[in-house]
Amino acid sequence: MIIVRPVQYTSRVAQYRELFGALGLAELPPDQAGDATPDWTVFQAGSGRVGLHAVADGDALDGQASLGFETDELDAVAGRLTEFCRVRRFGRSEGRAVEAIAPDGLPLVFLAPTAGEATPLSPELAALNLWMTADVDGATRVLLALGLRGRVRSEGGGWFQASADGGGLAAVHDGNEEPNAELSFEYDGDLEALADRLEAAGIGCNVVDESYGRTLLVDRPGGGEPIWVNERQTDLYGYVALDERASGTS
Amino acid sequence: MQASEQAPDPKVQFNVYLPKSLVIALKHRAIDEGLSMSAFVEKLGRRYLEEEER
Repeated sequence: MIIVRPVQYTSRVAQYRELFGALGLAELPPDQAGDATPDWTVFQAGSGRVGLHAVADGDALDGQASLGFETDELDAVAGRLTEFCRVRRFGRSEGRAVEAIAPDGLPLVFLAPTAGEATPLSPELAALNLWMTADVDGATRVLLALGLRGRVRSEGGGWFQASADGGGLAAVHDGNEEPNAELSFEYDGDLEALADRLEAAGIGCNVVDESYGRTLLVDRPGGGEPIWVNERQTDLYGYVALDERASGTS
Repeated sequence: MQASEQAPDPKVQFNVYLPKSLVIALKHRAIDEGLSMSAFVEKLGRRYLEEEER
């Protein structure tokens, strides 16, 4: 089982906690047996999870994100990715961690599942690892080799989205030569209602029309590029559904 | 001032109400042309204004 769990690094932990709460994420209890540190918190989304990693103000990672996953099959994951990635085990979690460097140089990090449960307020919200890269085909191969199930791709080749069996989504978007990861979400509900909830919590956001659907752009703590919450696609013009659930019939 | 010295024209949000069928048609054409909605609407607006000025 694989759970998508993007990691957001920030010096503004309290603000991100408020944001995640308004989005409907629920904080998991500290994992005493595993990765518990004062700097690390995991939140449960309706589907998938999000990790929040505290860093010092001015740290190079402040505001950055990474492609994170949880899995109870670390050895199998490492084996599946060796054809496409440079794979190494590292010491966190008593050796229960795997890092895979993708062909474009971006790392994917896998940890054992965080123990504990929490009930999210928004079952419609899915956490999404957004992978921006000039090598869409290479990144797509990595996600498929990992065992994620392809869901939607664009006919133009600039977008691929997949789901994980343990929850959450990962997507590849064509981007600059320098690859990067972004924390993102998909919402399978009333985007306007979600926007109202965020605004009631004092969090700025805007619903904008994109060619593929609508997106809620959420003000990021500390400024910078907004966090994208994509409305689940219902109009697949220019896209190809790769599984039944993406075909708009559910 | 030389054009190369001008500050970039900032992007602002522009909300309008249009018939749903027209919105869908515009989105589909933007996909056909490989453009974002913003880039596509900007292209339409600039082209229209340029033609009007001729």
